[in-house]
Amino acid sequence: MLNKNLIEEILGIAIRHGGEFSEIFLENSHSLYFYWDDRRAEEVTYGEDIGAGIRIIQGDKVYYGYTTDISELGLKKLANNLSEVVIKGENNRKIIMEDKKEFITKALKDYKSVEVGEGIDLLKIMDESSRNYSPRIVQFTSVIRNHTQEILIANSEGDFVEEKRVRSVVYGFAVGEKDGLIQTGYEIVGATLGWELFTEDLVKNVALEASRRAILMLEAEEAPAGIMPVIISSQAGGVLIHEAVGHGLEADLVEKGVSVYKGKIGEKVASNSVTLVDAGVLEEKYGSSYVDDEGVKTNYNVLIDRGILKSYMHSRITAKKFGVAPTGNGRRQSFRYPPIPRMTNTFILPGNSKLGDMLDKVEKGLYVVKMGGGQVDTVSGDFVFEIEEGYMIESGKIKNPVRGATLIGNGPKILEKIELIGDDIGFTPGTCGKDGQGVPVTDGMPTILISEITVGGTKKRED
Amino acid sequence: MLDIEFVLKFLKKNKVEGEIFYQEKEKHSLTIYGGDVEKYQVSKEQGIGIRILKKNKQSFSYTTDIKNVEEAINKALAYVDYMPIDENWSLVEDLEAKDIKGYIEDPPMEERINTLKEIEKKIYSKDKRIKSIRNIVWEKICENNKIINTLNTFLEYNYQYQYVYTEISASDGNNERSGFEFDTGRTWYDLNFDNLVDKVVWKATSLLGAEQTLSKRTTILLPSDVASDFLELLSYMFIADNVQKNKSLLKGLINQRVASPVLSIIEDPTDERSLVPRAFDDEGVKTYKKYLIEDGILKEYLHNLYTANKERRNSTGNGVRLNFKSLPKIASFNMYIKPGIRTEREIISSVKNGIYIISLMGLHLADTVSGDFSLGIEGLQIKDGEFYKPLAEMTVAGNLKDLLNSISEVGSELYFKGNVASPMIKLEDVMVSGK
Repeated sequence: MLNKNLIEEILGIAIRHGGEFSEIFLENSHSLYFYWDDRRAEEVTYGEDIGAGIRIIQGDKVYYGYTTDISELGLKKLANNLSEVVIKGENNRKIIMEDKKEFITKALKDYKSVEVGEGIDLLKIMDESSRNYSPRIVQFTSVIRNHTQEILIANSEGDFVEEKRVRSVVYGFAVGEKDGLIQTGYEIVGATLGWELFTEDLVKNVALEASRRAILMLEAEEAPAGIMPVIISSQAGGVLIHEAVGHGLEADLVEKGVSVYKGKIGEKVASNSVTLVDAGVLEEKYGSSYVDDEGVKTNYNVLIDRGILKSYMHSRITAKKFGVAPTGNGRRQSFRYPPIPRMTNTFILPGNSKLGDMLDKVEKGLYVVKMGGGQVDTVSGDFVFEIEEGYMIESGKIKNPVRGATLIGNGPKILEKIELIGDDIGFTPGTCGKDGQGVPVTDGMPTILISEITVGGTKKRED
Repeated sequence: MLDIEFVLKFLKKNKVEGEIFYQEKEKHSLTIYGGDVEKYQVSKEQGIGIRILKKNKQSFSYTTDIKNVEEAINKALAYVDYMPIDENWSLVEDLEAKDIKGYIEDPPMEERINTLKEIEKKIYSKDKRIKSIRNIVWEKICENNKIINTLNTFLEYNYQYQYVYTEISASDGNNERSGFEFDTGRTWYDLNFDNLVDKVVWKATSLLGAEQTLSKRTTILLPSDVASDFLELLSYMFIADNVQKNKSLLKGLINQRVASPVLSIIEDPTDERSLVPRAFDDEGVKTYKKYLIEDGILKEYLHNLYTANKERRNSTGNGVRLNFKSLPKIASFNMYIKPGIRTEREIISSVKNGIYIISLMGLHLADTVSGDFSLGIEGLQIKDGEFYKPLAEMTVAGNLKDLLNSISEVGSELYFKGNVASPMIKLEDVMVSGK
C-alpha cells in the first residue's frame, strides 16, 4: 500500500509538537452485497471503501482524524492538522519501523473472482427453499455479503503490520402468516472465510431454518411471564454470555467505573463450573483475525477461570493504564473510528452434563433453542435478550413451543445461578455494537441450566 | 473534487441512464473525561454512489476513491444486465433545486471545551451519590450532498446538526444505577446543557434501590424521550415498501381505525422546529406535511418514487439515502405525535396507581413485522399522583397493535430531538411482569 519511508515520515509529522505515540491505520475494503426481497434480486452492490485514520496519544489524551484522501498530500495534511492541536512542544523523534509482517485469511475466493450471477443464483435457491417449505410463508428476504478488508497498521513504536481479512455472511428472514397472525424467523451463518462458504447446501439450510422457525411460531402459544428455571441449548448461541458478562469485562468500561466487575480481579464472580474465554485466534470464526486493529496479535484469553475473575479485555491504552500487556482486543469498525476494547469470539468452556440430567431437574420451566439479540446496562449488570425459539418444559419433558419472550436478569447474579454445564458447545456469529461502532463477533455456550431467571412473556395471568 | 462532467459523459457513452449521489461530510467531536479532554476528533470524507438504469433494470456501486471512479462505474455497468426487469425504478427529470443553509459559527474550541468540562463538574456537585461519569461527548456533523443525473437533474443541499450526551452512574453504597441523557441542536447555542445535567442526575439517582415487585396490570406513563423511542419503532409500519411486501401490520387498513382516537401522528419535514428541515427528499421530490394517523384513523403510508410508481401514485417525499453507500430507501424526516391538553405534571398527578418509565431495555429487539415486543423496564411507581418507589428487572410484553389502542392520553409538551418527537403518553391496563 504505502512505502515505509513515507509512513515513517507521516508518523513523525504527527508527533512533531508532542505526543508519545502516533499510528496510522490504512484501509482498503471491497464489498459485494446481494439483497433478495419479494421474489427477486432487489439490489446488488459493489463497494470500495478506502481511507486512513491517524491517531496521536499524549498522556491520557487521544487525537484522532480520518480522511478518504489517501494521497501523500492528503495524509501529510491530516497528520499536520492533528499535530497542530496537540499541546505544543518540540519533538524531533525519528521514527524507525520494523520489517513488515503480513497476514492473510485463508480465503479461496473473494470479490475479484465472484460472478454476479453466482450470487443471484444462490439467493434464488434460498427463496425457492423457503417458499417450498410452506404455503404460509408470505415473504422471504435474504442477504449474502462478502467483505474483503485489507489493512495496514504502523506506529511510532516501530510496529508495521498488514492483514487481509475476508469475511462472508449469509442470512435469511422469513415471514409466516396464519389467520391474521404474523410471525417471523431468522437464521444467519458467518465466517472469516471467502466466498467458498456459500455452498448450495449451506444457503438452503439457512433459508429452511428461518422458514421452519417462522412457521413453528405460528403454532406457538404465548410465553408465560415470571421467574423459572431455564435450559439454554448450545445451538441457541452465546448472546447471554456476551451481554451478561462480556461487555462488563471490557477494560474501558471497568476503568471508568461503569462496570459491575470493577476491582474484582482475583475474586469469585461466577459458580465454580464457569470458565469464560475470549479468543480472536480461533480459525474461521466470524470474530477472528491474526492481529487486532492496533496491530497487536490476537490471543486466547481466559477471562474467568473456574469462577474466579482473571483478566479484562484490553486495547493498548487500557493495558497501559492497568499496567498489563495488551490482549489483542483493540478493535474498530473501520478507518472512521479509533480502536476501543471489544470482544472477538467469546465463549464458556464445556462441562460434563447431559441435556437429560438438566431436564430431570426441571418441573416447570423453559427450554431455549435459539436466541436473538440482547442488550446490557453495564453499570447495574441488568440485561435482556430475546428468545427466537423456545419450548415449555413440564415434568422434565420438552412440550409445546412458545413465542414472544425475552429473558431479563442481572449478569453477576445469573453467573452464580448456572447450575449445570453441558459437554457440548455451539457458536453464533453476530455484529456487536458499542459507541456507534459495529464489529463482527461470535458468542459460544454449552447447553446450560440456570436455576432461576425472569421470563418476560405475553401470556395473560389470573390477576 | 469529483469530475461530474466526466461521469455523466461516461454514462452517456455507455448508453445508460444514471445518477450520482455525491456526499461530502465533516465530523468534529470532543470527549471530556476526568476533568480534561480525553479525545479530540476531526474528519473529512467524500464518497459517491452510482445508480444505473438500463432497460428497466437497476444496479448500484459506490466508492470513496473519487479521483478514480471508473472501476466502480464499470462494476455497476457489468451488474445491470443480471438484474430483474422492474418498470418501477425511475429518476426525476429536468429538475434543478438548491437548499443551502447558513449556520451560526460555534464558539472557539477553548470555550466549548470549558463548557463541557463545566458539565462534568456540575454533575458531580449536583448529588453526592454520583459515582462516575463515563464521559461527556459532543459531536457535530456537516454534510453537503449533490444528486445529479443524466436526465438534466441537479440537486444540492446541505445541513448540520450537533449533539451532546453523557452516561453516568450513581451509587448509594448497596446499589448502582446508570443514567443516560442527550440533547440535539443545529448549532451549539441550541444545546441545553443545564437541562442535560438536571435530567441525567435525576435519572441515575431516582432509580437507586430499585427492586423487582409483583406482576400486575397497571397504568403506564411513557415520558417524552421513551415515547419518542416507541414512535421510532412504530415508524417501520408506515413504510410503503414494508406494506407492499407483507411486512407491516398496517397493511390494507387505510381509513380504518388502528389506534385510540386520542392519537394523531404527523410527518412534516418542512417544520422549522425539526432538527434537519428538508425542502426536498433525496430523490428531489418536494416534501410536505401529512397526517399518518388522524384521531386514530390510518391516513397515509410513507413513499419514495419506487413504491409510489408501483401504485401509480405520487411519492410522499420520503426517499432517503442513509449515505453514499446506499440506494434511496424510505424513512421519516420529522415524525411527531400531536400534543394533547394536559401537561406532564398534571398527568402524573392524575394517576392513582401506575408506573412512570425511566428506561427501556431491548427496544431494538422488538419484532417490527409481527409487532411483538417484550422489554425490560426501569421506572418509578406512582401512588396517588406522587412518585413512590423505584422498580427494576420488570418486563412489559405485548403487541404494537394493541399498544396503539391502549393510549388514553397524550401530554401537551413536545420537544424536537432527532427525527422523531412525542409528548408524554399514558397507557391503560398494561401487564407488567416481575415476581
